[in-house]
Amino acid sequence: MIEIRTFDGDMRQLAEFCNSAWSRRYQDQMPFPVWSPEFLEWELDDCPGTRELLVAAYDGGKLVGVLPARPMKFHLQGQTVNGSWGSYFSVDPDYENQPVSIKLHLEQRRRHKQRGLKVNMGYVVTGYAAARGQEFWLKQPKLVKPVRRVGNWVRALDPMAVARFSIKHLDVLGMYLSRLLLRDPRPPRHPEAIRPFVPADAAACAALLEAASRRADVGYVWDEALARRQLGFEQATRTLVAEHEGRVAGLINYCALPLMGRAPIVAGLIDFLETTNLPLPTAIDLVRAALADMRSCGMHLAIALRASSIPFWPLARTAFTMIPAEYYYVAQPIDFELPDWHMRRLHVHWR
Amino acid sequence: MPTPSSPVDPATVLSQLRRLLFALLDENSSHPFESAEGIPDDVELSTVGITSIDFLDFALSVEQQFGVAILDTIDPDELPLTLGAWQQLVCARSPGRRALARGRVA
Repeated sequence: MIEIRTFDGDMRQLAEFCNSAWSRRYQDQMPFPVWSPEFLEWELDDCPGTRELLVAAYDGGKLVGVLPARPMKFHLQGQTVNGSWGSYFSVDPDYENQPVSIKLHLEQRRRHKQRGLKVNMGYVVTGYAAARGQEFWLKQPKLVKPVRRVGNWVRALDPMAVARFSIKHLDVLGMYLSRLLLRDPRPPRHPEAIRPFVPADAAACAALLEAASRRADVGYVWDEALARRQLGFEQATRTLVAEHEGRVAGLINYCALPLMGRAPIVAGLIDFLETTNLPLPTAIDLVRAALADMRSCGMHLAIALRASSIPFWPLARTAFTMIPAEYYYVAQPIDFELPDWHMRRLHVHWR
Repeated sequence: MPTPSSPVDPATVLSQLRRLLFALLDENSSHPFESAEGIPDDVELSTVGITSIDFLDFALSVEQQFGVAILDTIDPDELPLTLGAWQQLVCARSPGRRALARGRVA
């Protein structure tokens, strides 16, 4: 008998469960992240209201499925909406013949309704046939609305390692070619303008991110606490800030994310890059400083979402390339009608 | 599909549910049934070889076939696990049933 209730373990157990379920389903078929307990603590632990949205399925005492979400306030085309974003959906493959996914989904919707959360946002992988989420989420057009297709920017730091990792033949070929063309990231020309984030930067960074978010069709409502969490959780993330005319005027926020493909690699995932108030050379320096740091930490690949949260030129000028869209950004409105589904500009992060 | 004013016949509903399930089973995997009529109404769906995605497909098919809202309104504990339970849910939620109930009140 499957029982649906709030996840009662710690982030180590959650990471182990997700990693086990994903590796059993996707090994050698598609790349997938390998979550660490610290990463999930950053994302899901101790955030107000999050534990209630860690919906889990148990068979007796055995964990057999999870559908986590994190409460988040959104700007949606000028409206401010209480909602959540979700990821890490995992079901034990041994329970393939049980209605675990659908029960988790129904319970998550019920909890959103109870709490007045109007929308749940997330990603559905479409670039690989093996990805199970597309069969589940995209079959429910009444409940789950594709917002737009999204892809990534990538910049190999170790092309041979990325070639060994890649599953698609074209990606392997591309990495072999890029080995001939790509050089190591250049150091910043003016490193004195760039320094690590400190908690005292949180208010300034929140203001930068909030302004950028408001310019987008979909974005988070930033305040100092959210900025401190996203940018300053040192066990899982790293942030560099750039000063211009004596003030913090830009930032790059990234984290190490181990990925498993044909072989393991570690990606440096850029979550937010805010450079609106920076001269382009300083913006480029900010990315260069992050790439140099990733390289020195042994990361093999830098990745960023192709979205409004990541401006074009600083990446284009630091040898990032665009890869085709492999995801849908999707919205699940709950007792809520969004004004316009043609939302192009996303100021969100990828999970 | 029943019209809003037509009452639902439980036997017809069960027969249609059997056909929906049989079509789903036939699409995906081997199963022990030779015809839709051979599926017992008390058999646990999880034991007849359908996948978790099929559960969703089945619920969506039921919504479409009978014009009832299920996924947006049901609690996970109410999710039917046998054909008989699905029959009860459809009969309770079908537009015809609601129309009858409204008529009695009026």
